[in-house]
Amino acid sequence: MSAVKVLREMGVEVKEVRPRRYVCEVPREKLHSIVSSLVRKLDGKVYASSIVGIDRPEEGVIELSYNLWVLGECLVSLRVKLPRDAPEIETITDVLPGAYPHELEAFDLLGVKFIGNDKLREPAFKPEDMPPGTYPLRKDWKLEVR
Amino acid sequence: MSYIEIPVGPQHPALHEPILLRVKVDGEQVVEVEPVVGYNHRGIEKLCEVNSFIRDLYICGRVCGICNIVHATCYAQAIEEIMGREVPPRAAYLRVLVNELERIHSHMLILAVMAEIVGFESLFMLMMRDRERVMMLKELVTGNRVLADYIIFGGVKRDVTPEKAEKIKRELDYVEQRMKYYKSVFEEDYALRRRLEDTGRISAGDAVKYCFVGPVARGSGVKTDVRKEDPYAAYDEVPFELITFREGDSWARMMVRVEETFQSIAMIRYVLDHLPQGEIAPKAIPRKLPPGEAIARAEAPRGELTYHIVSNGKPMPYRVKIRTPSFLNIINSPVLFENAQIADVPVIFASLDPCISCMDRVLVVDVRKGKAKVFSMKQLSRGELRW
Repeated sequence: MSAVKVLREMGVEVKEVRPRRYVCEVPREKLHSIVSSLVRKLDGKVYASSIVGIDRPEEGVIELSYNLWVLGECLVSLRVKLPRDAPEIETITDVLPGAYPHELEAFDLLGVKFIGNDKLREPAFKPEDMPPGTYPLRKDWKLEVR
Repeated sequence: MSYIEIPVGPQHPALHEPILLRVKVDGEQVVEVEPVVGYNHRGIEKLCEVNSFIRDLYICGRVCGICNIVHATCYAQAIEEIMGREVPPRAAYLRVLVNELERIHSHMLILAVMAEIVGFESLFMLMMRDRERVMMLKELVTGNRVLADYIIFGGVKRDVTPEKAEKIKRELDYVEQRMKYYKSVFEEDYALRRRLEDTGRISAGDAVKYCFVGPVARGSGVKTDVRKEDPYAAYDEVPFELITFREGDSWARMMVRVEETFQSIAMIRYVLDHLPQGEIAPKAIPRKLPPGEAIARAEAPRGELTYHIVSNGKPMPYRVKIRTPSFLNIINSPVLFENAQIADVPVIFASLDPCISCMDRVLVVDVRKGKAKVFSMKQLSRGELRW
């Protein structure tokens, strides 16, 4: 079964951006069930290529883009919007344990909390002297440039 | 039950790069390994957001020293997709040429390092000597031995003349002959095989579940390679074989690299024989980046590399997300160390071909060698550490 068919069966609107690239807008509550049914129905031929956090302060959201590569087929990009003041989402490490580095990075640098992932720690990538609660990849954290 | 914790690193016995492995042991048996990262963060993603997209090409080319061409290729692909630009056929072929040269020297490097780790230092010396020939070829084509800056939006910077092509072919004949010998060493040397075989074994199913990419996945029999699955540059026209091994241990991962070197040599020969005529780059580089978004993928020597770029129409990209292969391979590595012995830890770790500068690139921490001083973001941005 193809990945697009699985997604359409779940009632997800799939948009083809270019060959082998599909983008879907997904509500936060449904993300975990979509990822787990993709993994189950495609015989485990899916891995988490990246989870990209994009801060959009003017919309008041942090957008997460779950880029999943389906082996030999296509890249499915699931887009989830989280409120900026309380960015929380269920972890997918129970179905794809390899997604841990992505969640760790989004937690450490953007402050997105992944419910159910108890291995997240801060600071992981940040300097030790950076106070907790500082999220450098957010847009209001400015980089000083000469 | 109480365990002893041994810190392996950050000054690492296996690699000359900073990473800490917290190894919990019960006697000789490894119970758990926890990689601690972040010693080498340089804030490249944030840096890309405050520099123009043209400058970012050079910043991204400096994410990693060994695989700088593939980083520039992947970044340029993403920008070209946003701009809606095509690469001329000759430039696409030349991109394959330089990317494969890079793969050969990168694979030879880790094969040599592995030989050193298992105590086979003469093999290390010999392989590094022969690798230098490939570095010279890279200099011949791009003008630089290490940091090439060869890729440009819509093409490449230098052309290959027939004389250069002849020299490349001649040198590759030598490298191929030497690699045949090294292959026989990796296949036949009793001590080498005893050290590598059955260490860090992982099944194909687990390799996908734990998101391993590149030679690590292919060493477990997973048929994944961006060049085949999602062709870029001219990889859809250049024939090559996708190498997989079924064993899934450190030895299989090294053999994937050995075999891929031969494939790369054959690909370079094909490229030089079938190089299309025409332009290699557009006359002028566009100065404006239209709004848009692109996810570009490329096969780095260590596995799948992705760039996710979001632009809002300003000269500076809104978001540049770099996901390097080592980021996945290193942080997910604890699963490989189950039931290992202490002596196997460096072997398993090196079999991943870990590249710390690839992985640590999000924030600014720089522990200078010998001084162990942590620089703050402010100090760095004022230029106290120049490169």
